[in-house]
Amino acid sequence: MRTIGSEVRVYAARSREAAHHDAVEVGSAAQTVYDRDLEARVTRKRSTWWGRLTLSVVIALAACGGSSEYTGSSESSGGYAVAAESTGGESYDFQAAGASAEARNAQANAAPAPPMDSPMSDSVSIASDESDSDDADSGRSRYAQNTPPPQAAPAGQALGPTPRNAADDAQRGPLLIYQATLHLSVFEVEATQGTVTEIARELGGFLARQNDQQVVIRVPAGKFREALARIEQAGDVLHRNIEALDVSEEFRDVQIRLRNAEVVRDRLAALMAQARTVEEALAVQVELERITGVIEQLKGRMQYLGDRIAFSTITVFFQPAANAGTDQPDVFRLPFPWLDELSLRSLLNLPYQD
Amino acid sequence: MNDVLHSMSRTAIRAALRTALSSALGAALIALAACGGTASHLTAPTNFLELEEPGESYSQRATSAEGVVMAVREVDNDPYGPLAFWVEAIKRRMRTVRGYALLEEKDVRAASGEAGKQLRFGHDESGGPYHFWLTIFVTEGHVFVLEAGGKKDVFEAAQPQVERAIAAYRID
Repeated sequence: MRTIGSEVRVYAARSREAAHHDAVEVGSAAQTVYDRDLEARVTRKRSTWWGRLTLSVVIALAACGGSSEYTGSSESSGGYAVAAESTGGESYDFQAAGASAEARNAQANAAPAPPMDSPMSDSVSIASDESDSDDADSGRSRYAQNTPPPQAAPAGQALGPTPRNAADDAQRGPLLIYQATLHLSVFEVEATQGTVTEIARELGGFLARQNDQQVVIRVPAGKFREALARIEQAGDVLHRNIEALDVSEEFRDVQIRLRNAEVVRDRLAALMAQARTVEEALAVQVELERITGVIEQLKGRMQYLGDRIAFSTITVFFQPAANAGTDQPDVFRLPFPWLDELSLRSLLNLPYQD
Repeated sequence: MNDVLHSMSRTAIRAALRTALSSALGAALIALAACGGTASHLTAPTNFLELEEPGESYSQRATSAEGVVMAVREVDNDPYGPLAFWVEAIKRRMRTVRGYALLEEKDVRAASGEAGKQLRFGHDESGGPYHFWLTIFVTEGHVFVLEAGGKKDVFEAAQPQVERAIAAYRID
C-alpha cells in the first residue's frame, strides 16, 4: 500500500540523484518556469529545505489523516492510501453509448434518489437545501443555468443539486439508483417508441438511446414511478424488472477520498511554493500532477453517480424477454406442438393449390 | 303360439337393427376421429375464397383478395383441458414467447351455442402492424381455434365480415 509518506521518500531519493546530475541537465531544467524562480537558490540551504519538507509532510499527514472523515471501508484503511489505491483499482463503468452525453448532463448535478413510496418529497427537500425554497423547480432552474442541457432534452429541464450537497444528504439517507427494464409487445413499435420518448420529455427527462428494438430514456428520479405507469399504458407489458441500487456507501467513500485528495493537493501546492531547487520543485510537481489526476477521476465518478441517482434509467425493449437475452426469460413450454404453430406467419403463408 | 313367435321375431329384428345402427354410428365416429375431425364449419365471408387444400394444420382456410385470411384449426382435446386452460396457454404463448400484444379479450358464443373466448392480438410483421384474432372453443373431444389475421388497414376494413363469419361458426 502506497502512502504519501512513502512517495515523498521517493521524491527525496529522486532529488538526491538529481543533485549529481551535470550542469547541462540543470541548465535545461532551468528553462522551465519553475526553474527560473528556483535556479538562484540551488546552492542555498538544501539541508534546511529537507528538514522543512519532512516536517511539512508529517504535518500534512497528521492533519489530513487525523482529521479525515474517512472512517474506513472494506477496500482500504486510511485516507491517503485510499486516494493512492483509487488510481489503479477503480473502474469507471460509463456506458459506451450516450455515456459522454450523460456525463455532461451530470456536470456537478446529483440528487439523492428518494425511496419509492415518497419520491417527490425527498426530491423537494434536497432542492430546498440549495435554493432556500420548498419549490424543487426553482432550485433546479438555478443549477440549470450553470449546466449544459443534455442532448435531446428540453430547455430548463430538471437538474439536481451539486454532488457535494448530494453527498451531504448521503449521510442522512440512502442514495439509490433506480433502473427499470420493460418488455413491451412488438406492435406498432415506431409509434410506441415515440410515445415513450414523449413521456420522458414531458417529465423533464430525455432520450438516451434508441434503435429498432429498444429505447432508453432517463427521467428525474422523482418522476420514475409516473414514467413507468405511463409507459405501461402505451403498450402491452410482457415483462417488467425494477431495480433500486444503493450507492450510498460508494458515494460517501468517493466523497471522502476526494476531500482527502484535495487536502493533499493543497499541501503539495504549499510545498511547491517552498521549493528551493529545481529538483525539489520537479519532485513536488510530479506528485501534484498525480494527485490532480486522482481528483479528476474522483470528481468524474461522483458526477457519474450523481447523474445516475438524479436521473433514473428506463429501458424499453420491444421484444419478449425470452428473445431479449437480458432478463430471466419465460421459456416454459407446454408439450403441445400446435401451440408453437400459432402465428400470423403460419396463417398467412397459404399453400399452393393444385 | 303364432303371436308369441311373431313377437319374438320382431324383438330380434329390433335388436339386430339397434346393433347395426350403433355399429354404424361408432364406425362413423371412429372415421371422423381418424380424419382429424371435420366437426365444425366456418362459412367464409362472401368475398373470401375457400381453399380446397387448407394445409396440414387447418381443417378450413379462406382468404380475401386483399390478404385477410381466416382458418379453422381442430385439435384433439386429449388430455382434456377446459376452455380456461387453453385460453391461458395460448395467451401466454403468444405474448411472452412471440411478443404479440393482447389488444382485447372477448367472450363469444358460436352459432351452435358453445361458449368461447376471443383473443385479439396485434403484432408487427415486416415493419408493419397486423391484427391476429384467435377464437377458441372447447368440447369434450376437441379444441377449435378460429384464426383470422391480416395487415392492420385491410383487416380493419374486413372486420365486420370476419366478425359475422365467426358468429356464424358451428360446431356439429
